[in-house]
Amino acid sequence: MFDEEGYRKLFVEESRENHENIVNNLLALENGDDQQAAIDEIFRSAHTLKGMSASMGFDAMEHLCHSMEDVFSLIRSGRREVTATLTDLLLTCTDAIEAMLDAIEAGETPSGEQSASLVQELQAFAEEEEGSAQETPPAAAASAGVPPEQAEEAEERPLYTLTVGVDPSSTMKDVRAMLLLQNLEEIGTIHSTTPSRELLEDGKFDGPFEILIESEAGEDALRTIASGTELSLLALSTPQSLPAASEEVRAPEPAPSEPQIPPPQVQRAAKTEKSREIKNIRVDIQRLDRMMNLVEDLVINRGRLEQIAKKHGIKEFDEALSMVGRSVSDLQNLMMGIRMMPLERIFNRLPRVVRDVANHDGKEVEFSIEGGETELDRSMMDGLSDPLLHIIRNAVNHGIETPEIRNASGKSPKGSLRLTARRDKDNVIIEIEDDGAGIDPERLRKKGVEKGLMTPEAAANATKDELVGLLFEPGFSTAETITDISGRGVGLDVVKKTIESLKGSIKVETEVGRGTKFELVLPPTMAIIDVMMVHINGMRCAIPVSNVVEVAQTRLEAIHRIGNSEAILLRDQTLPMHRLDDMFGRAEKSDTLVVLQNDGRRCCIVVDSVDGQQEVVVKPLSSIAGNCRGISGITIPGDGDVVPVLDVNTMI
Amino acid sequence: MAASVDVVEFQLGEEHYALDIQIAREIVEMMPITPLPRAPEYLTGIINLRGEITNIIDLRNLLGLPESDEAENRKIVVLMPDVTNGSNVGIIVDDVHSVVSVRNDQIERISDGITSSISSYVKAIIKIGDEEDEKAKTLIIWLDVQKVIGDLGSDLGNH
Repeated sequence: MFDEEGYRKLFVEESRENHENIVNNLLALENGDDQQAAIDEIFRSAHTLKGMSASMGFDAMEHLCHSMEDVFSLIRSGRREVTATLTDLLLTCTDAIEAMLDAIEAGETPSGEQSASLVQELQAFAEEEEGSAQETPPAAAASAGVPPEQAEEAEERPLYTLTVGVDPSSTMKDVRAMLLLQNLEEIGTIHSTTPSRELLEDGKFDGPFEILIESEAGEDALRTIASGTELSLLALSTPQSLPAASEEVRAPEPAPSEPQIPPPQVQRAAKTEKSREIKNIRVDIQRLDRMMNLVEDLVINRGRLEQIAKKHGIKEFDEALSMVGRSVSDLQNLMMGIRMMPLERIFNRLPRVVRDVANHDGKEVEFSIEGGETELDRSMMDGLSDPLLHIIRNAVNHGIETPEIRNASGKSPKGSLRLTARRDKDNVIIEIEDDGAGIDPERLRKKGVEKGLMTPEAAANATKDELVGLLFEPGFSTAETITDISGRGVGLDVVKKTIESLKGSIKVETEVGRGTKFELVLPPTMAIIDVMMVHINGMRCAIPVSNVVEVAQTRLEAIHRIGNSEAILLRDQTLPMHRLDDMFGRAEKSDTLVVLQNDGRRCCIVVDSVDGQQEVVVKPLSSIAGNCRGISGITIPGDGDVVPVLDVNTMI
Repeated sequence: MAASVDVVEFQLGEEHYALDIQIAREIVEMMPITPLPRAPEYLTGIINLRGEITNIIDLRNLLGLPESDEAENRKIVVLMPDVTNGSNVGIIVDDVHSVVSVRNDQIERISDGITSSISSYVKAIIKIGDEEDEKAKTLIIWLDVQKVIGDLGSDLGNH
């Protein structure tokens, strides 16, 4: 197998997606959300997992998925209720699947021990209370899906028989047929085809073929679809009632040869495809980065072309170039957008964590997530995952009290844990807030001394903020007992370090008896920000729009010297004025000012001109450049130039 | 056994220098360099090299050489990212001559007699030229560019 490694990778990636889907839907099921949809999704994912693992030869995983599928087919047909024990069992199964995937990814063969016992449990569950109800053989259960009667009862849509011919000269009969079937599935449900679907899709047919389809779209829509390229609709039967039709049309079918695809499965295939349409494709991050670089290269070369064009002044060429220019800008914007990922991608794991920790500790927690759609550059996403997990675990484990204690202190027995994310100016802010016991500064004071992090004198005088800061010191943990959930030797100090390595910051607010709030502020680096492009002494630079208050024109006389500094009176406000000579050299007199603000302080700088506003990706400075105060990063705007981005905070 | 190494020969001012060929990624023509406000003096500025921000280092400044007017053939030698801890770094040189194959017997360690302000950055001296004609012989200073760049990083750490 020349490309087994590649297959394996693909398999693991897709399986993870399916696995995550199962877990999320299991949780949704437990929360009593849309039951049917969740069950269908799980069924579908388990089925896909089973198929894929079978084709890769991972038998243990296949069996496990198979058993899960069996149980779900029982649930789906209403013969089983979803109970907490069952959910637990199924979640354990998903854990086992995850462990197997990890093993497969590492190039090992997954062990079948755990899964074998799980398979037994699942089977026991499927059989229990089954009693006299006939033992469903697993294979049948797997393919049974929704019993056909059930589906038909629900919807009484007109039924058509289409006879379609494919141009005999066509070299792609199979593709044509397959596309046709797919298109038809968009508007209806295909009950059967003659010859069978498999033969059609393999191109093993001569002459016209028949399709029995149930659809509300009407004859015209069917006609349109059935008369595409190299296709011709030979006959379209009038609407019939369903039972009669199925008898009638199935009759001419060569009976014994094609029973492989019974109608229900075709129907399910249709559904599967529909839900797949909204799926995303996976792309290697490095490929995206390479693409981004290429796009930027394109941008630079467009600039060069424009210069050449200017020299020659050919109108046609200019027009073509401006078309290219537009496409390139669109492409660039698109690429910037693609790099961003919604935080949901890491938030989605957390409900499971909260559930597990809460169950383990016997606590009741209502976990809510807001702002999962907030986007963050994917390069930060990975680093953020562990710190978040840690804080969330901590909040449930240490923050929220048991129902008894909560009752005693007059709170609702169910603790609340809120995770919110939002974009604030340049930053993405993530908050984790619980309404638990809070952190007692007196206990911190005591611990700080015990652990030798503070001298008793220092501790006695320490402010609350200083004490809370102790939480982030290495080797500090307030939990009296080490649990297997949050006391794993890594503490908030690691969290802090990780956040800082992402150039972010972390803050805690806590109030005894009221709860604790962690606030993570993540910086604009690598994120898309809005900047105002200006020229200062002939040099182009970008100022984050969030720092800009206004652009003002002034008279030179309005500028006053106060010793070695300057100030200006602008609408009754005295603003310190900076010329930034050390950054950009002494500039010509200019009367354009940009009023900036940072942390509530205002000042203004002199610029030659303001060139407008645009969205850019800010790239961090390399370590070679050191720490240039006043510069937060570099950006490459649409024309391929390199432009420093000012950091108003450290600039002055 | 004529073991030999390949080096890239380039010029800074009047002198000829060399660097290991493995650490050079590409050589690009001089292009406008955007200075970075408040950047260290050795950093001439930054350029956009096919979408990658590349830091341009003035080797002359680092080695304490005087400015020269020679600008016509100036080029930028872009280094492999693994030499520079992942940053994109290019160095300005006055001209790039060729790739030279150097035999072991042409290499003379600098510790043998010559001392210099930059001796820690000099790997060796390469004697090159016509074997017969002593006058046509010339010297190439073989720089340890990796060390030069590496020291920048550690200097920064201390500030």
